[in-house]
Formats: sequence, structure tokens, C-alpha cells
Amino acid sequence: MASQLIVRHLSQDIHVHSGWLGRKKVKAIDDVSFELDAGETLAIIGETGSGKSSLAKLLAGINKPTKGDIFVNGEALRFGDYTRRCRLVRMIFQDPDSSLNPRLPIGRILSAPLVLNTKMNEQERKQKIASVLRTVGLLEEHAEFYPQMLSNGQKQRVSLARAVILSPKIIIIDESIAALDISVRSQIVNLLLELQRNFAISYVFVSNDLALVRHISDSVLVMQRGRAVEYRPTEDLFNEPQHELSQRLLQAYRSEFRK
Amino acid sequence: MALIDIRNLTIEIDTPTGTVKAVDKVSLTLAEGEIKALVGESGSGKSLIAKALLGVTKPSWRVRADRMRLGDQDLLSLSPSQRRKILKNDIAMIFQEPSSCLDPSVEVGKQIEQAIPLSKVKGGFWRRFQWRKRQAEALLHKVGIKDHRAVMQSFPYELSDGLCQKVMIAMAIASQPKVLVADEPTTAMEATTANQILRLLHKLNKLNNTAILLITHDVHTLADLADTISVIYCGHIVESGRYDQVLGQPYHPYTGALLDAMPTHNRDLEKKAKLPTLPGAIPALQHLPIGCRLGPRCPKAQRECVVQPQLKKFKGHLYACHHPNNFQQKENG
Repeated sequence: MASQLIVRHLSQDIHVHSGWLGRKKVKAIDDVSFELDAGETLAIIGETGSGKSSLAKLLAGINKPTKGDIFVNGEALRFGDYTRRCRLVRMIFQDPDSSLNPRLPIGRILSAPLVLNTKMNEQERKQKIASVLRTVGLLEEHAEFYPQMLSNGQKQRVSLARAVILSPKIIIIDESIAALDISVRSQIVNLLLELQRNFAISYVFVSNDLALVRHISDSVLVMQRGRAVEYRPTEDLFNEPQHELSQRLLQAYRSEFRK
Repeated sequence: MALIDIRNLTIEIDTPTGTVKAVDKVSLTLAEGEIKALVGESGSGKSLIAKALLGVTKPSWRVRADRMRLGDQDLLSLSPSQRRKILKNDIAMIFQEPSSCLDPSVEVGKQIEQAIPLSKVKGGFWRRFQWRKRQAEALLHKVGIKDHRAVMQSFPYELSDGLCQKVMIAMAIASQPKVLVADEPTTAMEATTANQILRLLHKLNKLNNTAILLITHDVHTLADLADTISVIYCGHIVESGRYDQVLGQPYHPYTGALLDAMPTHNRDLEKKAKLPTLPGAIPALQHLPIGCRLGPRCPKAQRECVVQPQLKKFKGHLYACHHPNNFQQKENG
């Protein structure tokens, strides 16, 4: 079986103003290729401004790629074809406070993707929402709650529920875990791992936390100025980083400068 | 002698649903040249303690303490203006999210110059011309910014997070304070930048003998830096001691859980295995449990835990728990 997600020569150019009327072309993403198997995790690391989040947005279909192809299960994804794409690829955003509508109860937030993408009637939608809420460790009654009534960890669970409700093949996680408190963070990580084991979901995991990356990812893509400078299995990378940037990142992560 | 000495600090906040006790009888001491880390999760009141120490309180807060001293000065008996004068010279604070704490409409250079007290100038009046500017350049060099001209001419949005944080530190050390309060100095930074900031704080501590109170939610990034660590949960200090005591042999189950939750700490953890974690979530301040505040989430909770445990001391290591970890043999013997 071929890989679940294949990305070939993906590039994105953006135009910035330079001078009076001039425009300059900057490569936000420059010729990135990778593959991801079912039930595996790819971590994207790099410094700020290296294009980690841009790449995540390209995969989720928020931005339009200039060149290159994305294949999921062998089918090419076109930009703008949201009905098919959002059944295959879902994204969890960085900040749950701003990605959940504060004026809608959780049940309405979760039913929106079902209304748009499935032919379920109201009864079926209710059942589906209840079962998804139970999967992510919340109660059925939480469907009546508004986002501000929940704690940060619970909001992150709701975002996760919104991502898994269409049973996607791939979930993109953009720094969503870093902002959580430690004791809640490990709960969410456990939940992610459990979902991966049960439903064979692949994750694309954008993060700065190298300890967590080492724990949950199977391969790592190191990015610098839009280019993928190193792409290898996690343990290889952590044991002997090849590129100068990966060496520097790892050194910072291991640093023990007092003792 | 302790530089900062706080005893039984209590902060109550008026909310629409009634008064809540956000910080309950917290005692802290900070010696000269010491780095102390205050570790806690969100809602534990760690930022409130720092704000109460600096006197940046809101009208809805009620701050009480048995004692709050800075050196030989009693901060509680001073009028606000006297207190500001003392704090201006002796305490400086670095806030969370540096890019949002700088004034977005003023150039960075001018903001640094404003932070430099003119009272420090020596010599005649003619020395005052350009003195601040030169001083600002020297400060930027001190925090490790080589290209001072470009930085001083730019606005905060043009600088990266790490640079903004360095500028904040430069402004904080302008008046050569004795104490630096750093509130989450490295959150939301990638490892390389965070490391630079930590090294800088370490250097300041060693060269100028500045005492640093580090406030953080992540034990591990700051573990190398701190001399002593206090762990705080829901407004109570649960454990306090030297860094090797707290990290090596945590007595309180909460500290143990915080340490275990990090994959770095458990090196023998299998890949993709479940991380050990505490059940439940941090309680809201309006609904705090009675007795030990960790009670409902604690794996070792028993009947005695409905009574609030007092801080006990063992070899200079303070803990507040009825059934501490790593402790059985000693308790019997």
C-alpha cells in the first residue's frame, strides 16, 4: 500500500512590496517533499519564520500552493475543493480561545461540519456528536455548554472533537499543545496517541517542544527559510543530526549550562 | 540576610460571584544573589505574587501580609509614592509576551532611553548631552545585541520575540536593580532563543549578583538555572527546597506528577507510550476543594486529606502533604 499522504515539490511564493511600485517574490515554501504512512506522525520543527505554519496551512488548504502536488490515499487534492479535502485532512489551530465561536454552544460548533459535509439528519447528528464527545473524554452534556464555560484543556478537547468528527485520515496540529499546562498537556497527548492507535490517524505535528517531538513522532522534517533541510526518522535525527541547524536546535534542547 | 522576605501573603479578589482567595498564606524569601524559581500552572497565583510584590495591584484586590520586606525596608508601611521610589531603584520586572509590553508607537531606542534614570549621571551638566543614548547603547551591548543602531531605530513589531525580550531585559537592568522578577521569560520561544535568554539571566546573576525570581509553568526549561525551587498549586506552596532536592526527590505528589509528565525526565519511557498524568483539571478559584487542594486529583489521597496539611520541614526541604512520596522509611525510623 502506498503512503497515506504524499507531498511532492510543494512551493508557495508570496509577493512583498519593495520600493515604490516594485514587488518582490519571496519563497515561503520552497520545494518540500515528504511521505507519511497511515498511523504515523510527522513532526515539523524549525525556528520562527522558517515556514512551519505556512506548510501546515498549505496542507490544510487555507493557502494556495504555487507549485507541487498533495496526494491523500493516491488522490490528488486540488486547492478550493473543500468538500473532499475536509473529509480527509483536518486542522487544529494554535489557540482554542479564538478558534471556537464564543456565541455558539459546543453542540452547534460540532454539528457545522456534519451539516456541510454529510447527509445525516438531526437525530443522527446528535448521536454522532455525543459519541465523539465521549471519544475525546468529555460528557454528552457538554454539547449544551458555551466555550467560555470550559477550561483550556477541555476547549482543546472540543477542537480535537471537531477535527475527528468527520473521521479524517490526517490531522494537522499547529502548536496546539504548547500553550497548555503540563498536567493537562500530558492528558491531551495521551488522548492523541490513543486516537492514533484506534483509528490509524496520521498526524502532522508542528512544534517547538523537542522532548515531545521525540516521544510521539516517527519522522521529523527540519525547516529553514522555507526549505526542508533535513528529513529523517526521529531516532536517527536525535542521535546524529546532520544539518547545522538541527545540531543547533538539539544542542539548545540538551543544554546544561550550569553543571 | 534575606533580601526579600514575605510572610503569609494572602490575596483576595472581588469577583461578581463573591470574594475568592487566589493566594493563601504564601511565604517566600529570596537571598542576595539567589535565583529562585516559582513553578505553578495557570491559575495558581504565581503572577499575582509577583504583582503584589511590585505593588501593581488592581482596586478589586485585597493584599494582606504579616511581613513584606525588601532589605531593611518594610514595604507594607510605606505610602504608594515612597514605595514607588524604592521599587524603582531596587526591583525590576520582565513581563510575559515582550512584544506586547513594549509601546508599539515609539522607537525602541527612545523607550530604552526613557528607562535610564538621569540621577546616575556623574560629572558636570555638559555630560548630560547624549549621555542617555550612549548608556542605552552600552545596555544593548550588555544583553548581547551587537547591531545597536538598527535595533534602536526600529519599532517593536519589526523585532523578533527574542530581540524584544532582550530589549525588555536591557530596560529592566538600566537602574541596576538588586532583584529582577522575570514572569515567564521564555514562553512561546523556540529552544535556541530561549536558551540565549536563560544564559543572559544567568550571566546577570553571576556578574552583578542580581537576585532573580523566575516565574514559570515549565519545571524543565529553568531547572538548570534555579538555586531553589518553590512549587505552587492553587495558591498554596506545596513544596520548596534546593533544586536538587525538589527535582531529585520530590516529596509532594504534585511535584512528582509535574516531573513525570515530561518525556525528558522519564528516559526509560517507551516510544509512544502513555505519559503518566493526574486525572481531572485544575479547579477554578470559585470551586476550590476543602483541605488539601490537590485532594480530588491526588492518587494517594486518603481520609486525612480533607484537613489542610501544614508545611513541614525535613533537612531544609519544605513540603505540605500528609502522605509524601519518597519518604516512607524515614517517617517510621
